[in-house]
Amino acid sequence: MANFRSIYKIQIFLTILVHVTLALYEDQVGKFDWKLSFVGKVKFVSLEAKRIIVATEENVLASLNLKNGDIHWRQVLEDPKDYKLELLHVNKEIVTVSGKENTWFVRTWDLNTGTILTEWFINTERTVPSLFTIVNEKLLHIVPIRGLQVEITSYTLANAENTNGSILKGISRKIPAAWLNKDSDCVPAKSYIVCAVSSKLYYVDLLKENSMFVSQSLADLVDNSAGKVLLIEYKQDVPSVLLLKNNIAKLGTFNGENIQIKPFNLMPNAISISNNGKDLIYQLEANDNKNKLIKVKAKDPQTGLDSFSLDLEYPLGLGAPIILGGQSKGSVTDLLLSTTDDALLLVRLPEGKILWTREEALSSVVASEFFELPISELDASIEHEFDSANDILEMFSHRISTQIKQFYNLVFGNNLLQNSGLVRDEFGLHKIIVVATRAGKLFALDTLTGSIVWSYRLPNVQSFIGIDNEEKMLLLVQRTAQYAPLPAHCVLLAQDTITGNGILFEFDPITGYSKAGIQRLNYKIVQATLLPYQDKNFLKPMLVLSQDEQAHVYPTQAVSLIKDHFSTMFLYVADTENSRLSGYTLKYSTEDSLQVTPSWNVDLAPSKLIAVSAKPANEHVHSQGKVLYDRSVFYKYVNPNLLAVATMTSDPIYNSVLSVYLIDGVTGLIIYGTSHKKARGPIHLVHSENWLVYTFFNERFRRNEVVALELYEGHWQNNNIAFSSFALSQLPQVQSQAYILPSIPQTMAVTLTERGITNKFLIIALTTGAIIEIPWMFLQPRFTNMPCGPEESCIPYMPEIPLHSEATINYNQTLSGIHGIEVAPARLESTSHVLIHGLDIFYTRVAPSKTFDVLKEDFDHVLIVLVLTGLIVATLATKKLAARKALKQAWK
Amino acid sequence: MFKYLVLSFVVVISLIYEIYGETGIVEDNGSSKYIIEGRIFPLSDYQTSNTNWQSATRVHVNGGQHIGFVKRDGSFIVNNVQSGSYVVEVLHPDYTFEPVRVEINSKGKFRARKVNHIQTSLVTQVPYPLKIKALGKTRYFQVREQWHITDVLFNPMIMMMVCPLLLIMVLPKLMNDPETKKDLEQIQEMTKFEMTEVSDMVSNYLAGNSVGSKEGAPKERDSNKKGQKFRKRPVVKD
Repeated sequence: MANFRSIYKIQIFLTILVHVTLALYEDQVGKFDWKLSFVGKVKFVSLEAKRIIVATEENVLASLNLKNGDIHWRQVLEDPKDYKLELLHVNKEIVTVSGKENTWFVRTWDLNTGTILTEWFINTERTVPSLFTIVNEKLLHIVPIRGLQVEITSYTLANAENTNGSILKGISRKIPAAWLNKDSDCVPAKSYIVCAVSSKLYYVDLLKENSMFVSQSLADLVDNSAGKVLLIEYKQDVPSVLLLKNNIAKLGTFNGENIQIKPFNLMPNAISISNNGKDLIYQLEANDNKNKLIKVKAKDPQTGLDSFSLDLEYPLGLGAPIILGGQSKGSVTDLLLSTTDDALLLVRLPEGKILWTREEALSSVVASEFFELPISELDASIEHEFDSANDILEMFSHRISTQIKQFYNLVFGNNLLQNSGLVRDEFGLHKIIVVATRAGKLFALDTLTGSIVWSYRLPNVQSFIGIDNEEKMLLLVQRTAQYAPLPAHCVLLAQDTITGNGILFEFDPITGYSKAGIQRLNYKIVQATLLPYQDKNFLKPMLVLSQDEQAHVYPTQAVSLIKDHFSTMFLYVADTENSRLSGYTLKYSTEDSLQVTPSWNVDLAPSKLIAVSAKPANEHVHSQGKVLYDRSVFYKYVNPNLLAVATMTSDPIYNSVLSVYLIDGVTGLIIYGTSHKKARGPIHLVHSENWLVYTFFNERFRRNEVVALELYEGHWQNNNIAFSSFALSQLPQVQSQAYILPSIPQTMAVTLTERGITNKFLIIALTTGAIIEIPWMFLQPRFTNMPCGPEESCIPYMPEIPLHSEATINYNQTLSGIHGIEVAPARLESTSHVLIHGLDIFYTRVAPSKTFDVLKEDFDHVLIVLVLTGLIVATLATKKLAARKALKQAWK
Repeated sequence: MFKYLVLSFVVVISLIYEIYGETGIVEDNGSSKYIIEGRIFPLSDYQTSNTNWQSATRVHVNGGQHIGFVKRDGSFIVNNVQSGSYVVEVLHPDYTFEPVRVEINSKGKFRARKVNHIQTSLVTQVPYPLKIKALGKTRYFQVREQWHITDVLFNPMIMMMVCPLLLIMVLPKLMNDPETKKDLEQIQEMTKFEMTEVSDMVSNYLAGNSVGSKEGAPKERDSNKKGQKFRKRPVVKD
């Protein structure tokens, strides 16, 4: 009997599972999803005939196609937060050195395929910044130790093939250098090490045995005006270095124990490119020509005379460039430029044409938002039919004219009325994604193709540092595009790189047009929120809290609009430094002066605040309760002001304890709190409707666990019209359940739909590079003492959450360095848009309850037409036959 | 003699393994750093079709905390690992590999076992240095339903159309046939005969039963309307 029951259970489970798991069909690949791949801001570069080898700030090694800039292969090394690439050297094979503090990995790679050839690592005792260089197939590790010496360890790369991973013993050598201080600046120049300390230049040739530092007064070498001399590496066959003072660079070449300074001035970004044994110095200079701001100059390295000069067709909107590298072949010279906004571009000389541009800023997205497109002119004119409701004649003519236009469109196609392709479609599937990047550049991407619609560069802008050192900017939608003819209106909040003060940038997300440009505020931003009221222009006012607890409203005239709502306006601020959450009220404000009064605060010290999550503002909760097996309703506790907070405490017995609190953002009341012993981060919170899901690493069982919390008011609803945080008669009932997650999550999100009718899916980005969708039903806490089966739409509890490969929404398009997930509803209830950003950007659509509101795309139109025509033919034929039979019968 | 030889051979192999494991240690200022080693065996069909599979494969230790890359011969090393417990995953976009838990104790002994999240104490040992074989091609997609003629034929709509059609077209033809007519009549007669018999039997039975209940259970009479109805029948018959 028991056996039978278990079989029965499994069967139920399987039927539900079949129903619940959704997967793509193979022919849907690339139909609505797209992926953009990036490498990050380029740090080192080497041009090798038809390909470019790049090493980037994102700790990525990649090979790009010289012709079009496409990625040929890409190897993502360790987390760029800790590990940095220090060296790139290409000679038959690629050598990279990447590492942190006192540990470096030395890896050699195959040039064609990107396959690793050898790997070993260097471990030093001291954690001081050090240099790497390669001379005569020997890797030199140079450690300058302040006030003492320079330690040089040389490793023979050829021997590395046989070591297979274990540490390679290098030959160490120490050169006394008591003059080294914290301001000293050392660079390698072929076999030389060159250091500049206050007023003297020291250099040594490492190839010579027992060589010592030679000193030379800097005043003799460069002009003796005030200012510090900086050294810049300069790569050419003769060991040389650039000496930079007051933004003027001089080239110094070494010969034995002598240094020779060339008599001409150079730009700091000068590089040397050799062509058939003849070297030329290439540099970029500012141009007087207003249309062509940049010019390229080639100089002779002996005389410093210009041998070539060209004004570049430099595109507008890109930041200031520097030359990273180049190569010459015959009469053609390719220069690879990198800009301040992280773009990478290839210039081909002598034409000066830009062959391609890669917007590498997109590899570090810090804020993203989906925008609906404006309706077409025709639809707008239909909507405006009742604008002039008094004049019947005008309305009539309006209707006739729009209907003629509609008919015209139907016959001749509707390409005449659309100025651009950016017009809203029927189901809201075509949207614009606006992303803000760490480099301070805004991009708008088209959801259909992934192409860049517009971009806008904001100079001297950086992101806020949020909880857990997360870089963040704020994109707030003040007005959507649905109020035609008024354009959509969006605000970006960030901070100034120099002062740290707030930056406000208002723009139209569809066109990228900004009337006011960048507004630099005179205070630091602590918190900002949109208010749920609209002024006469349908603009939602934005409330910004400054560091000195002053509130500001944008647009400023909106104060009169919100003055009646001051008593219901609340703000919260999470202070990570002091682990404190504080709430503020605007109750005591008047129209003339906004008063931000602290109303509550929750001190979580000595615990460390590691995550705070509020609910998505545009979320709709469709169902107010859950129907139980006895047909009674259990009402959900849907508190829009609820904050989920996670803290970590170090504990002498349990190592570290994770605590999760649910705090009301208006009253500061802790509604629920729980803790997990021996838990470790990273913690991910997902907060939606009446539930919270969080993941953590359980150190005791060494696995990732996911916990779901669900809040219910009970069988009786407190107030079914409006929710109030103050009207609390009893604490909500909390259901909770924990599960094992058999993989490591990197970030999580939940689907959002227009009306909230569709089931919810959790979207989890795993460290493996897969994006998995899990139905919320899998995690929903089961009620104890209640039956669980398909009738209750409940899946029996399983300790381990199944992660099927079919649930991977990005199929084999593995994503690297995933940073965040942005979800937005489509106008179609069943569908939501998903954008995953990181080193790659991936966009797709998910339909958690399948696309129940549109005809399936594999719907067989031919079959239905065939069946219908068959039926009609059959009816006609039988009609004829019947008539003939009746006639025959009559004749009998 | 032979047995002895085999035994010594085994001992030698285990010794070699031990030495192999020990070489991975890198002593450095007190805290030891170890190297996880292993080899990946892709499916043979894949190896032949995609000669450059090594660069697309990565090895993640603890979800990318340490990374290993695959060499041309399929071997990999993960450098700079301290003693502890690690989950080693092999990642490839098109193929699935089973993760392995590698435990390194403070003395530098390696142990590899299967990952079991539910019974964490259960040890199913696997050989170290790791030998990881592809489980198979990852199935990302659902298979689209193919169009079959049987699907159409067994469609309820079609069935609804075909059955009446059969009744209309075939039955009258059968009726016209004299032999079947005879047969039908016979069947009808038979059923008639039996029907009457059955109904008689039932009515008789009910009559008998009701008589019994009349005497035995007077309570039921008040409550059960159906019972009353049945009781009336024999009265009418009488």
